[in-house]
Amino acid sequence: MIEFRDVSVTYPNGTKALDGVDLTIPDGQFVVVVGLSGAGKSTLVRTINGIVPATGGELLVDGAPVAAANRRQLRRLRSQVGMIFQSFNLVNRTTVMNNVLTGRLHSAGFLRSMFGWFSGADKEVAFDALERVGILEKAYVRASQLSGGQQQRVAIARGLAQQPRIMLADEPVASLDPPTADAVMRDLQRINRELGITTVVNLHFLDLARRYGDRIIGMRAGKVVFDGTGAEADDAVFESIYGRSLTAEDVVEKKAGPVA
Amino acid sequence: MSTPATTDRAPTDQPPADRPVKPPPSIGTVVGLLVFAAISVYAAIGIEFTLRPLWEDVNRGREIVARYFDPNWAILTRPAVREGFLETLYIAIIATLVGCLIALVCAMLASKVSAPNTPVYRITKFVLSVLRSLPDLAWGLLFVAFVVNPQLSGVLALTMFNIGIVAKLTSESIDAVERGPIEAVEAAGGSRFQRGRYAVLPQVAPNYLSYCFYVFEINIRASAVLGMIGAGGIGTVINILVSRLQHEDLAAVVYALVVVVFILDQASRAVRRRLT
Amino acid sequence: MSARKTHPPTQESTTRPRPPSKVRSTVWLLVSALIVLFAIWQVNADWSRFANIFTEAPRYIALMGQGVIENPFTMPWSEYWTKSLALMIESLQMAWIGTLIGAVLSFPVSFLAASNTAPRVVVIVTRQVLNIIRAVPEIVLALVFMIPIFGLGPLAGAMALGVGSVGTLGKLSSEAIEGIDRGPLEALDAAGASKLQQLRWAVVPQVLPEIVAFWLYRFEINIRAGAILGIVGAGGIGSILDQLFNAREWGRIGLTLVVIIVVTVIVDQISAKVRQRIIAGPGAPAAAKQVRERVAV
Repeated sequence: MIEFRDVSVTYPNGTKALDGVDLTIPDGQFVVVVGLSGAGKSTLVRTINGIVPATGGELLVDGAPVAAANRRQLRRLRSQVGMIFQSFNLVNRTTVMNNVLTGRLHSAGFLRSMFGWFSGADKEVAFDALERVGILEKAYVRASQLSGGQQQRVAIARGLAQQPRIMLADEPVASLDPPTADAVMRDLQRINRELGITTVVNLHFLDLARRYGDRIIGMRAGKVVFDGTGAEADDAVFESIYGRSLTAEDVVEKKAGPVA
Repeated sequence: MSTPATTDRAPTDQPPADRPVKPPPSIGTVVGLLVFAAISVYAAIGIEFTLRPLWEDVNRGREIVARYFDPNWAILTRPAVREGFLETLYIAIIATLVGCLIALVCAMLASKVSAPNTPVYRITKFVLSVLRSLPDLAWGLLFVAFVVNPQLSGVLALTMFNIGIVAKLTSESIDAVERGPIEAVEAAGGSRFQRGRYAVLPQVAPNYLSYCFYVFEINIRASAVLGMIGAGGIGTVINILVSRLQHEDLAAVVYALVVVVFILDQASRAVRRRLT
Repeated sequence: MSARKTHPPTQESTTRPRPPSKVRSTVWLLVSALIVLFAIWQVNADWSRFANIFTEAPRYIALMGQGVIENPFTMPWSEYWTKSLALMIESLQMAWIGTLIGAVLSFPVSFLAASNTAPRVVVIVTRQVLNIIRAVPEIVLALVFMIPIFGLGPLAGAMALGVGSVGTLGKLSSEAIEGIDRGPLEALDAAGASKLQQLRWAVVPQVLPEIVAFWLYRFEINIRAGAILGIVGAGGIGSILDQLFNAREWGRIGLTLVVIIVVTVIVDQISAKVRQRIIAGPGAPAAAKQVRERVAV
């Protein structure tokens, strides 16, 4: 369970990215966070694993306060939280397998991790993760040789290899074309359903948000301005979140989109 | 959710048979590593590599090295030393200018983009790689024998040395130049020379100037040692002090040299940063 | 004429933009010219000796050429060739071991000198140490530190080249590290990897090809440096070169220079090829081939 209690984040340059956020995300939920860029979506997601430290309020992940964690506790927390990025963040020059195995680093000893002697068990976890996103046969291919959609699946497998309880995804489909975006979102949803991993995804496409979110959280200027189910989030709600009328840019599939 | 979630299969189970097998390292990699190891062993045996002197014979060296921690700063005030440093600087400046000017012409001839024809390009490239293969001190020895005068031989040696470096770097910059402007000047009826002057030169000028300052840095270092073989500059002083075993004096000169090179390096690099 | 008079307002609109001031560049040019002229005036070189290039040099060069074209299979020329070649190979060995030492020493240092992997203070200190090492000529390093410790011979030379290489290698490598894509670092941080694990799995795979290419590049430079260290007794072909010039044995000088040039050019070519291959990566040729095949189909 993730609990935000009046959480605020102010960056060193004075920008207030989160402003008194109160949220409770129960285990196993698939949450989509929507809002314009700069609304605080990325910050919200990044406070959960402490990459961005909360500067005010209290944030509990499974009952443990994130802000009070020391370096070691923070690493343990992060090992239980997978993360997926807009730009995939893979090491292109090495194999898919090595990229996925970096998800096992938190449990690897010094020598093992320096020389890359991963245990058979670790390798099996990595294979299993690759199998779940359907690119097992690419295990020993260089990451740079994959397409964007395949690279994002590798990144999901890396997150899965951590055997996480929570999966965070920051704009995971923003760099992908519409059909691939939909496929990646389906992968995330399937993993959420099959493994019960709590999933928090940032999106700015409202059709994807409606289709996949059990729950939609709308953010504007660092504040939560909407919190409800996908069905409740109609165009009027989105217009109030975005503070403007909707355009074709706000949906992935232009023809099927509600405002086309 | 308090149990780790990922898999319904315990990781210790026998892995299923359908796992991809790690491909063996490519033949190129294996051969490369073997060659690398073989050369390393061969070279280490050849020069009788050992680190033993570092702890066994250290006393032999310690005595001399200790004298380097007690430099005789007074020697720096001697006119011969001061003149030696200035001479090094002058030689470096003159050689940089002459070398870089000749190098610009050579660079134009050594790039496919600007060379008049293929034979000229091939020959220039070959001559340049020969020029570059001789180290600065070898040029020094040659010119000391040819012209005898130490300062002049220093200037000539560094000039030859510089042509090789600057012409190579600049010709590579010319290779990478955008072809559009060249086509434009050609289309406007420009001559070969005009093409070089108005389409190529403006594009490579910042890089070229930056290379000139780069060889100036190299020249300061090189002209300091050229004196050891009689080609003028502070090296002459260093040579005398070495032969007289005046280590305390030598230490002061060497430290001063390092400081001078360091300062000129920093100044030159500040200029280079602004150029590119 | 009258037409021109009837259009006075055009005159005002046709004021041409003034060219930007050239004062700065002119001043720079003048200052540089003055510096060079001052240097030429001060250096007290005997410029008249330049004529020797046309009078003396051709004679010496002819003598050198004779040495090169003497039948290399007759005594004493066969021995001269063998001796020069053996010493050049010793220079190469020094350069190789020196580069290896430089690589081993500079690799960890480069992480300390990169602003994205080390704290600011450490970076500044390490960079200045590297700059100071770069300022010391290898030959001085050999003379002052390595020969007293390791004695005369190629070992001292290799050590001097090794320590001398740390300056440039550390600098180039740290710049490569600073140029990496930060994404994988962030991903590994988010996955709970330690700082050291992040370096090993996010930084090293990204920069290793470049850094190995720098090692080879430095090897090419060290071949040249290794060819002259013998002048101060630190091994390699430099030792014989100095003696030959003192004895004015032009024939042997000629063939020794030929050995240096030929060996250096050949090793340079090989090294450059390997560097290109490393930068392109083992996957790249295969990928290129795939593309070619696809185009063919």
